[in-house]
Amino acid sequence: MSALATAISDAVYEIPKGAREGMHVPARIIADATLMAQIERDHSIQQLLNVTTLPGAWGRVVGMPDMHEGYGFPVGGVAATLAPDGVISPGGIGFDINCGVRLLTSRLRREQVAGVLEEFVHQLSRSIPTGYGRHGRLALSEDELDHVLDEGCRYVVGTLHLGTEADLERIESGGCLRGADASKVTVRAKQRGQDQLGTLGGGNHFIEVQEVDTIFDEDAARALGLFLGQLTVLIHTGSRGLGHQVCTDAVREMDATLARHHIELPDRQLACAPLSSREGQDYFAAMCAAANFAWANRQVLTARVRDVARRVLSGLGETSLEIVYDVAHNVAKLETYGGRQLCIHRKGATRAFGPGHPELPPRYRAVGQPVFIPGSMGTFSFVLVGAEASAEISFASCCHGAGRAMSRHAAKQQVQGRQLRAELEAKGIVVSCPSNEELAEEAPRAYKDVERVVDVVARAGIAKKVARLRPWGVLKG
Amino acid sequence: MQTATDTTVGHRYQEHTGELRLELFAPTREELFGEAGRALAEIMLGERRSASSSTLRRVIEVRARDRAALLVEWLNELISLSEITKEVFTQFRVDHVDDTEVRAIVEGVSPELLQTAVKAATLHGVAVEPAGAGWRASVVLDV
Repeated sequence: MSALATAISDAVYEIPKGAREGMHVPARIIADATLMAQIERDHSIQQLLNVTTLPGAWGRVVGMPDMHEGYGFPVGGVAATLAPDGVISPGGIGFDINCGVRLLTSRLRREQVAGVLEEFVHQLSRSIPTGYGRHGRLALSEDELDHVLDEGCRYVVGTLHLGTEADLERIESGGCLRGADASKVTVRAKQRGQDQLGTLGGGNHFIEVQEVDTIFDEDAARALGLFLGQLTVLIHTGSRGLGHQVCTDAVREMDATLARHHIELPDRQLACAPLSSREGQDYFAAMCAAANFAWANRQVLTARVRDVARRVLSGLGETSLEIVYDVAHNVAKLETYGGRQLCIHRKGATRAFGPGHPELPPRYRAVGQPVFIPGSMGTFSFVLVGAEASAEISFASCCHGAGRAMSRHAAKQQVQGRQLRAELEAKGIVVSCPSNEELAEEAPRAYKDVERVVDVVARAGIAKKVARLRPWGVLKG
Repeated sequence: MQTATDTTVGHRYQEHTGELRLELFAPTREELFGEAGRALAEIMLGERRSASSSTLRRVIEVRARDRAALLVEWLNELISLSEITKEVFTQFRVDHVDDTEVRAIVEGVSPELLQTAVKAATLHGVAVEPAGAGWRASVVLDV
């Protein structure tokens, strides 16, 4: 596959439109030679090229440096389709709709809380349900759930009183996609989500307690309210079972209607429908509702974290936690590029608007949209801001993490969970995870080098590095 | 882990960077679908597989467009029902499987926690094919 890709800079590879039959657009991969070699080890590039064949594909598809093999779309892929008749593909968003990351900052320094860090993580683990199928403290009525689906964070703040109005402008899209329609979410999906608001879920989801340990850009850090030594909390989760079921339902329906829309696909999981079709419109409305559920979930979790901070950190100083920003990395959105409205699918990719974009809140308009790149467990995470060139290079999209380099099975064979726990604790990192086996699946060596991934997106001109966050406590989902 | 022959029932995991690819084999389609359910339970329960007691028996009937999609629908039914009822289904009496329909009675356990969260079964590379005197299937799960 490498023979198809040509380096067009030290951080960008391109595969031309004619490289494989059926491509409507070229493919671009943001990577250096080392990351490209890792990407080529699995089927990511083949999957990226499959995406170029989707009806209505526009401009180019883009693979991020953390890209790895997925199902249908690769994880770490961006695809644009021309609205209204280009397709929308649920697999291009993924099962965990609006899986995303939210960064909270305190006014405390890590050294001020060192003595209570273990207690802080312990109390987080008591307050926040983790693991698959665990229910939260909020069991919503059918009517309340519909409000969450239609209104997202606005309902959580305005009616459930979890958070403040000031929180809303620091969330992508204000924590509410206006295209949402709860009536397009199936009963089964609602049943799965009914008791899951305020739960972390399993897999690679986590809440991490961190310290700002390096600042790369003083002005941008100031604009984001970051300072050296600052205690921060990063929340990574999504729309839980509700979002999974929305995707399952849509893939089934679109798989059944491909012939009617005269669509042929190289991979059945790329099932799609024209955005303007009934199936496309219904999925878009349900996906927006699931995205709202995910933002509401992170808002409820934020309230829980704030409660724990008030209880455990009081007496040490100001205990308030402010949202820096909240970004989705599994979602489709209608955005305008070159005067055309496009449906931008981001699957394991973060929106990264550059400075001046009208959708950004005033406080970030001069600096660019905050982007958070979590590292693997026990490694650094990074704060970036979107750069102006991101619109041209990647439809204003950036990477979303380190990216898996090793299967979960291989990770468990190579890493002893007990040993990893001991290694993390030796570094002073408090770990809350019920199973050593689950810990091993998320071991740092199962992932790519996040520092290299972040350096590449910065070199490509997609985003600028602002700060590095060192982990001190992890609540694993 | 078992070696695939025409007369054995079993499953194994194949390498996949991000997700989990499951290969299944069995002499009949009924046994193949039962094995798919048992493999799913093994993934979900992991080291906690001996935990808790048996739950109610449930009748499950699933329909799909074709035999490959039927395996995906069967697994997705088990995944979503499992999340709603907080059960993991470990025992399967699969009474009937054809190209578009499966009928089964399932029974399970209610674990305190799960080993692995399985979000869904996917159509990516799914296959259900006759193999010798038996059947073989491959399916990728989002975990």
